[in-house]
Amino acid sequence: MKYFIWFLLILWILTITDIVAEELPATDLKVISSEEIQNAGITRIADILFLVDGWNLSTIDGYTWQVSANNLSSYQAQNWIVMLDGQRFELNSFDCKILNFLPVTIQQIDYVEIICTPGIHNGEFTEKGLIHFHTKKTQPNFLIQVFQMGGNVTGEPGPYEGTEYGTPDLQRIGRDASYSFDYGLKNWYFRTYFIRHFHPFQDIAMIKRNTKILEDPPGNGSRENRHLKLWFEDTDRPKMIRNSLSLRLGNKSIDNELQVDYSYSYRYFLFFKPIGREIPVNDIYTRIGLSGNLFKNKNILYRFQYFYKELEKHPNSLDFDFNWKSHNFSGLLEKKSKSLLFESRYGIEYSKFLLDTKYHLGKNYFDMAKLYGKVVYDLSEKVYQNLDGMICYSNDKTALKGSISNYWKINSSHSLNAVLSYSQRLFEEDNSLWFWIDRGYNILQEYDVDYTIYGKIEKSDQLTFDLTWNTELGNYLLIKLAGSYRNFNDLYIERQDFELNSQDYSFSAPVKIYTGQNGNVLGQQIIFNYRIIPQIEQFLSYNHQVVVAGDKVFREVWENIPEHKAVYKVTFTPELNFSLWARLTYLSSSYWIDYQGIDGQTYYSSSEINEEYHSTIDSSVILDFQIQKWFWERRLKASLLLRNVGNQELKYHPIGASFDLTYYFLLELYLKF
Amino acid sequence: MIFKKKSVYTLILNILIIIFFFQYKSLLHAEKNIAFSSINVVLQYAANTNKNSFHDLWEHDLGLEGFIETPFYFGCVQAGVHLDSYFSKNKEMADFQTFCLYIGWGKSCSLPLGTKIFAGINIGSTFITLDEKKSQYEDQYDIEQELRTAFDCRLIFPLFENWNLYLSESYSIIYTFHRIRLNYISAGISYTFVSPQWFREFTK
Repeated sequence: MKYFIWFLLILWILTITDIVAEELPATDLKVISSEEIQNAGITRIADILFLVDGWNLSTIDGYTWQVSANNLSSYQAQNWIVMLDGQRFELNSFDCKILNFLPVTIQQIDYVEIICTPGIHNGEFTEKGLIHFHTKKTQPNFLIQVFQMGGNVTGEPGPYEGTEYGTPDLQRIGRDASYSFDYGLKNWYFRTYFIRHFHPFQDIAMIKRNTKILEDPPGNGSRENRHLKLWFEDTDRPKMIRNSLSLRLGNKSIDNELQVDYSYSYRYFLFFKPIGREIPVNDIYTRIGLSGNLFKNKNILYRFQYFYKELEKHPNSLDFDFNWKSHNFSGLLEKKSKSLLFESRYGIEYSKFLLDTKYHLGKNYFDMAKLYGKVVYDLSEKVYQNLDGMICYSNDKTALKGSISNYWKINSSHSLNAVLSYSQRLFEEDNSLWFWIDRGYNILQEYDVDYTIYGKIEKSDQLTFDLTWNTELGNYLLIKLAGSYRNFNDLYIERQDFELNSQDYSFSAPVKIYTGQNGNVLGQQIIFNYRIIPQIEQFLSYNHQVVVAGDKVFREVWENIPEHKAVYKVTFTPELNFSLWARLTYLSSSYWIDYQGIDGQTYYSSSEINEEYHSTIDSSVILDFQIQKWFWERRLKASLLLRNVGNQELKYHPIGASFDLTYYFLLELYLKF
Repeated sequence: MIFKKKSVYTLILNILIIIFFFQYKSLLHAEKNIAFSSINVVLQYAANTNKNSFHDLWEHDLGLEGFIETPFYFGCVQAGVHLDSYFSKNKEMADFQTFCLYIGWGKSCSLPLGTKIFAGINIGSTFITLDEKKSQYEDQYDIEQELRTAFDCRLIFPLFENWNLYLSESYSIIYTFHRIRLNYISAGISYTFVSPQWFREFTK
């Protein structure tokens, strides 16, 4: 009740003035344009992460990616924020943030904002990084868009299948599709779209454990969703089929939009680290969002959202059931204003998360309130500063977050940007498995997983500093030099010393949670963007990160992230409707201490192959290549994408898929009436 | 044998690099007017000529290839199908047919007496249909799909107006776990005509 009174009070204060501010510049913003996305060999939404400089990625299955955003976190605690058209999306299933579940098609993306430094962006404090997708505005016409993608990984048995020379059948990728229909009037628009994904979770590194868990589930013969067999092409293979349907109804004059999304991911193989394997689940979510401006002068912005998520049990040999249904409601109001001296935004957000489970919880919900403000002012013609602050309040605990950035335009060619931030983070904000275990979500006890929490999990804090120098020589060469420092305190970090279970090729180990972990990380980045002639654009980046001090467990976990990363990209557009694109990526080796106990263990052996797990992922140099051609006056686009052209050994995780040479065909159709 | 395979591969690759190097400037100034102005339809018979460990198990029976090609902004592009049939030398192995859909690019140079030499590369998806199924899964796809790349070198002799004789040597790799490397010698005819207006509008 007290939150509601706060809410009304702030609403009243917010509505006193009605001076309108323009969009405030973010502290360190990278924008990925639709043109870059179109050229860059993107097959699914999560592939856009490859375009983000300074973000490191890891994956087990090639569908779900763990992110370390500009060294703001390790691959643990996936708390980077995902937004779509101003609305935050909670895509986490425990510590997996499944960006491919975002209900948007590649064709609809207008641009993507990447925030790599802490600060306030759309009412969120970006202490772990943020990616914000903006869709194209609906024009006053009918627009039908179709996207079709198919591909295959190389190295299948071919005619040798079923013979003594046979090898596992890895199966084709995708046949992903999306269909969207836009109808726009002068002030109103309607958009609906349907997305379908197929993904095989059966790379040779994971095929045995994923096949085993689908064998002989208890109650075999009474499989749930049998009636949906045809629609989902139900087989006993480790393959996910995802369908999602979205509706948008909006008014352009005050940017109001109603968003409704439904997503059903049938047999998604969720990697649940405590149990050391993937668990097949039917991941379901429904979301209703409403956002826009209260008045025509657009000085007060609102955002409401309801999000329901369920991890529905999929028949499996372990009879594993997450028993997880969550409800999340949030509402935000933000006031924009502008005076002669400064521009500002300030707002309030209230959210409530409720968990519905069979386990007896001490309290099955938590509330959170956030008050924030953002001020931009000019110190001189060439210098402006940005002050951001937030108070986060939940369960009688408070976290303070703030950042100050200083942008100095030295002259027409050079600029310097400095960002200093300090933020605290509540245990509730993580909304993690360990938070709910603390509340009584006894899933680990039920499935006999030992875990120990050393100490008490308290709120953590971090201090960051980023310095970036940009120079622009003419219109053809951009150079960026950046350095960063991170100081983390009171983190809780998971460790497991896995062993391989040879019966079902899963992994097991007691979970140890170390609290009060501290560490310091330094990062450097250099970027060249060079347009030698209008038809050829080149891009070269180098990133380096190193832990300079910290506790032993902190250092061990950060060894998962490659120390060096270099990317060279070239786009060649000899003609408007034809382009070639290539990317060469170097990743240095990484070490995963959790998997040192399985070093040298064989996971597949035949007369032809002997494959072993290793806790060290070797360095790799990978070349990707794409050819793209538009037809029919830019109504139809066909692309051929080759990934890992040199067929090098490429892994992102010790027990994850190996990404051999893979090819994709993409077709896009745009029909306007 | 391995040396020979690599020699063919390297030779064709070098030819392509040399062509690319000398035509670099024209590549930057795309030949928009010529692009898609004509269509060349080619039909040819292909015989598999090499021997390697794959041929210890299967023998080539029949090969047919058909494609269309049209001038591109640089060189020419092609799209085609390649059909092959293989029968097994071993009772435990299945006979199979391959059906490859591909796209390609290449560049030709004129020689005396109206002849031309052509070098190109193509890439496509090969669908492998096994006559017998030996699968661990009930729902196994009847058709295996795999990447194929090929290097192509051709001599083109004029016959009559718009008709040409094609003699080709190509080297292809099917990217199965055990790579299938095949060398073909092909012969066929082609017919060239001015592309219709709708085709030019569609492709540009």
